[in-house]
Amino acid sequence: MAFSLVFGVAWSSWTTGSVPGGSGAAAAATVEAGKKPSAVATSGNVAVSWAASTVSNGDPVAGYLVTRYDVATLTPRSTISSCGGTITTTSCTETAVPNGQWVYTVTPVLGSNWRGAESPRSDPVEIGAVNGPPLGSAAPFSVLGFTGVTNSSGATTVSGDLGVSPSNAVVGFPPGVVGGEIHAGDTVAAQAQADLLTAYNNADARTPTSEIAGDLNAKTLHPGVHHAAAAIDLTGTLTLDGDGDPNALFIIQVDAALTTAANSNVVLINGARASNVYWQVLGAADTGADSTFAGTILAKGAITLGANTVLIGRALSRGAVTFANATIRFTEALPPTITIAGGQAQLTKDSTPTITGTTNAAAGRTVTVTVDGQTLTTTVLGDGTWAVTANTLLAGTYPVVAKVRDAAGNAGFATQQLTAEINPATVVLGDAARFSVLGGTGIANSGVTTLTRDLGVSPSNSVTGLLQPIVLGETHKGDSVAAQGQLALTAAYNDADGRRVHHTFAGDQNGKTFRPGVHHTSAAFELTGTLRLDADGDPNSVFIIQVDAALNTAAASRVLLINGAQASNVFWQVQGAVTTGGLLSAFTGTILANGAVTLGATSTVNGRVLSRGTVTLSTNFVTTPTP
Amino acid sequence: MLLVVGGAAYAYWGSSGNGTGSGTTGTSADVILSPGTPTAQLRPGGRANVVLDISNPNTSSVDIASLVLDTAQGAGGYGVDASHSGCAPASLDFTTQTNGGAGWTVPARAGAVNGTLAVSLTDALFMQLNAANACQGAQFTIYLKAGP
Repeated sequence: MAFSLVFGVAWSSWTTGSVPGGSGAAAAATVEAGKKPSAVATSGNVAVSWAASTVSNGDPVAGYLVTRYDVATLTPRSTISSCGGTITTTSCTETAVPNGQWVYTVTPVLGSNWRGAESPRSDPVEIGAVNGPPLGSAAPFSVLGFTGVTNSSGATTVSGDLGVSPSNAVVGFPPGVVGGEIHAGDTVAAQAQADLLTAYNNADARTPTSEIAGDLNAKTLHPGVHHAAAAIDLTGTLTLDGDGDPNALFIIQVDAALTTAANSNVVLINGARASNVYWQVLGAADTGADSTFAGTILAKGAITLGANTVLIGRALSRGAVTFANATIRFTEALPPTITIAGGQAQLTKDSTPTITGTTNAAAGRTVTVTVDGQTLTTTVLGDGTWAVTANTLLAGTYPVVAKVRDAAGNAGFATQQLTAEINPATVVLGDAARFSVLGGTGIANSGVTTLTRDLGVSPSNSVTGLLQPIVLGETHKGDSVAAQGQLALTAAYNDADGRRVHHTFAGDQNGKTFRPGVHHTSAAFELTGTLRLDADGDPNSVFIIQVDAALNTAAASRVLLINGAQASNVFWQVQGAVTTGGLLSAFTGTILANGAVTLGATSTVNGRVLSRGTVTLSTNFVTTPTP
Repeated sequence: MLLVVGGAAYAYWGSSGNGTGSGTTGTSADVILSPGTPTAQLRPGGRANVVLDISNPNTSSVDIASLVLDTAQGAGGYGVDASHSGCAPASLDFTTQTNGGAGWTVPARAGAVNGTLAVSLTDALFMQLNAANACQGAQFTIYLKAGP
């Protein structure tokens, strides 16, 4: 038998309650948005596929809802066959799709009610054919003129191509913006004009199904060929009724002028689509201000779109095309958007930079990137990203343009200024490198000037005031050594002058910092304080400063080398005269001067003074690095 | 075997038996439960952790036997952040937690600093399949109390 006796010894742990109102926390996940699907039409069927969406906690979604929209009206339609209901995979094929032009979206589903955001719409697919006038190579053009294309004011936006032929007159771009290409008087525009004439004649030759006349306000036209023997007006709203057929074709033949009033509208209903509407106009075609118009205008005469006109279609003329602050695109849907990583300005140290971005264009669409004369193409990936790698770029700043088109031809684009901060090759001084000071028309000195290397002058042999110089190198007055030095100076000057610019600047550079590369000013260079040259730790960094006018520095001004920058790698190519400040002025680098150089009294130069003119010295100290 | 327990009638004795604290008063202050920082992982038809911090103002460690839903607080024991007011708490279901029967021991206060214990109640909260779409991204308050 054992006894266990425990008396009044308190253990350390208590069991206790909690203060009312205490709580724990939990958080709910979110469903990722649907990814833009790809839709491919084949024989009345449409295969739809898309990238998977996930839950924010990493779980897969339960499935997807697939929706089809009429391109013209963006009215949602229920999908059928394998695309109906909740799709648990990432593809489906809808069979027996009605005729028309369609886009698809996908919406991720989780549980009974959770939904991810509906995806962007796919590029359009077309089922069935429409026997419209054959536009041929004119089809990609939003605007095509014969004698000229003019944006008279405002930021007109043209989503497709813009062309003119045989004229090459394109006016008002910018401020107008063209998403596609501009073909001004080139062979592409010429062929498009020829095809436009073919399409015009085709439309003109169609047998009318009805006669129309006068003001079309409040009238409704059904599919067919409608003929007007005289001018047509529209003072209000014209309705084009597709009778439920998305392939409904409307051809309106106008044997004179077509004129619409301000705020007039062409409305499409019951499946009618702008891409199936053609206006064959013998005379001029004018729209009123703030009007909306639909269809492709095939005009023998001039086309004038009133201010703020929205044209869903094309303006193709055998005369002039003029507009102001207009919007012209192929579809109701907006053109695709595209971005370039880094935004409007990007810096790279890579001589073959990879340029990336995103777009809402469908996977597989072509992205075209132009940079430095290079045209680079790639395709949009499933996640909406794209990337191209440029061929070798020299140091400089380059405009980059990235474009992508949707299936309808609407183009989106983005631009960027890409600066390739690539160390330029050094400027070879050759036979000029041995000189601390080299003049062309003479050298004048006062006071005690010290040069650590040679003094030279050629073709002149004039050196004055050097009664008390300290020339640690040799002196060459009008001899062959100085002449060779001048030849080398000319070569070096021209080399520096021809380098591609990567940074432009103007005004006083006091307090500024230059990085390796080619810096350019088209005006005079001024320095009232301190300019820093930052080598980023690379002692081989080269700085070339191009000055298209004079170079002037103030007393006590300084050019400082930091982070490994070397005076031997700094070159000042100056078209005008060079004047450095006096007391306490310290200049750094090799001056390659087309004009005269005057060093302020007691100022110093860590480099060289090489001039094709006269060099004037005054108690200076020129320290020249060893070549 | 004869087991005799003597001494004052203290409130509850801890089960661990560790330490030699005097415990002469026989009472202890209630612990404070406060929400932790959750990761967003709850979805319809799924479970998620409930996170909290337990703060002990006593000079002795205390034991928590269980954590139960305090239905007297919030909407039946639940709350949702203001920007997700369309998310009905009825779609949530909290399961009483005992840490596998072991409960939790919260360290004693050290000087002026309360003892604390961070607790993650694994898969304690369930969301019904029919949870509203408005529940996406919601932050939930799960009102709890220490149970016997």
